[in-house]
Amino acid sequence: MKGKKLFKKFVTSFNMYFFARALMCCFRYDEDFRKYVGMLPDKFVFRMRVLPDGATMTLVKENGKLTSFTGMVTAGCHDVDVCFKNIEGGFAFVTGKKSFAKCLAQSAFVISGDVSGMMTVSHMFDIVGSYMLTKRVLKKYDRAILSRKAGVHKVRFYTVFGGSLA
Amino acid sequence: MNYKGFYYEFQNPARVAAGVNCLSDSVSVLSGLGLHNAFFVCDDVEKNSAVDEVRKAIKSAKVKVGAMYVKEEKIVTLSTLREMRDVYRVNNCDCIVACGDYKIVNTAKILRMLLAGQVVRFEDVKGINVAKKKVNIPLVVVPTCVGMSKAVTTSALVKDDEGSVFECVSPLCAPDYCIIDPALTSVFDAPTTIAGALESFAMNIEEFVSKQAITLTKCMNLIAIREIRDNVFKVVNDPMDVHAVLGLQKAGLLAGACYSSASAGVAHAIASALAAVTGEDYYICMGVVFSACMKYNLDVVEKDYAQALYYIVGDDRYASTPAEDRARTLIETSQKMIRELFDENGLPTSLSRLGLKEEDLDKAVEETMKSYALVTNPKNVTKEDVYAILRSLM
Repeated sequence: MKGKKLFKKFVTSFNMYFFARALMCCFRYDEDFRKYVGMLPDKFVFRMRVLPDGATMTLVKENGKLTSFTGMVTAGCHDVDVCFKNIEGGFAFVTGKKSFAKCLAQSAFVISGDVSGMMTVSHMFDIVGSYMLTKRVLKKYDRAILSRKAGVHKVRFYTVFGGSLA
Repeated sequence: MNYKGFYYEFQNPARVAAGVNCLSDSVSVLSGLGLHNAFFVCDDVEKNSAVDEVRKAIKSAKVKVGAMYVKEEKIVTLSTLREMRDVYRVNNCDCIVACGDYKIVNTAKILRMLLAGQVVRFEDVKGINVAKKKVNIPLVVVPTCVGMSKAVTTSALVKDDEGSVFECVSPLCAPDYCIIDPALTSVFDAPTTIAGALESFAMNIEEFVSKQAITLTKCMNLIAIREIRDNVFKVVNDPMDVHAVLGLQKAGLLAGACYSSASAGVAHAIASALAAVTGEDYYICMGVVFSACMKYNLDVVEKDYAQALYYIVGDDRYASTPAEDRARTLIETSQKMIRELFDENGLPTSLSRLGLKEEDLDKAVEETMKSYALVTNPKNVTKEDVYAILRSLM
């Protein structure tokens, strides 16, 4: 089992599941987040996965509503596809050590697709990060510190215990 | 030694030939590229004497000019591209040769990407690495103006039918061969020359402090900054100084070579957005916003700015500037240089003179926030920051 990085794979899949839930929770409670979602075209599909066989998260905007979940809709059916080159990049992202922008700047993933859509999603991820991580952690890892438009405990609570958010 | 996290990527697929009269020396290379029937893209033939020179060189390489397309647009539109694609196919061309300023080169790059990727719907290519190479269509570019930092990059801009500008990034955008000959450079249009030189200066600084910058690109950027310092005033005083022109072109080339790897920053993002909103040249917009963006990034990249100062002011002044003032001195020197050169040549130095109205501010900010360059800016940029930068320039 040596060298399989099972712990990192597990943590990445686990955190990505809650990250997907946090995205929907922010959509429900954060005004700024909804503005960014409004900028995305309808039927926009964003896919993020960890290569070679790691976790996958899909974010879909349909009829003005945002749905995000782990797993993919259909192979090839996406506007933006982000592939982490290895588990290290994916792990650093989902554990909050690196922002989406920093991963991009450090060539941690390969992207194909619409640049402006990807930038909008990147701003959305920053908002989620500002709820899920404490200000101290955000500062430590040089991440954007944004003003929160909803109660941080509320967002965290509903992310974990909120039932079906879709 | 700890190599954890040590990883970088650098890509510059273009082969470059630069030097005085290098066009005539390039004939053998042109023949070796396997060109037969060229699709020639150029700007105003009467104004641009370089076009004739390039056509002669192509003929010497036994390449036929199958079709010639003359049209000048600030940012190429999809309708023009459709027209060009049809002309290319009707004339059975097998390669593209572009001769002109950055608009022409941009057009040729996009056209090559569409044809080499056999793209059916133009809308499908917007984004990063969307088009995949299916057919080999060599692209040769001959830039004819100073600056031209975009000549060898892997990105190009297109305007869609609704009028919004989007960026395409693909290795297919990079030319196979780039010929930089100062004898072909049109330096008589002083404002364009100055704006081009200052744009490559701004790009080099932005790339130098970018989050994505690596040692390789940083070295190139510093050398480019020194080239600009040494040559920009020489070209202003004597536009026929071939070595000075070549120096500026070299600086632009280095900025372009690094762009694909280091990307840029907030100034590039705002300038591209302003160019789309006001319809003004991107080069000029860059000159207007650059100093304010440098000030914005100052607290994060103070050390880098201090290092870059050496390449701008030289040994004596660098040594006599106290260490804590070096970054600020760089900003002041750059601001002074840009303002002086812009004023002398009647170029706008504020957003109101650029034609940006208060009601267009929201659109400019929205366009800026869509830019890929924001990701690599050394500081995390928010909408409020962009508003503040733009308001300070009104």
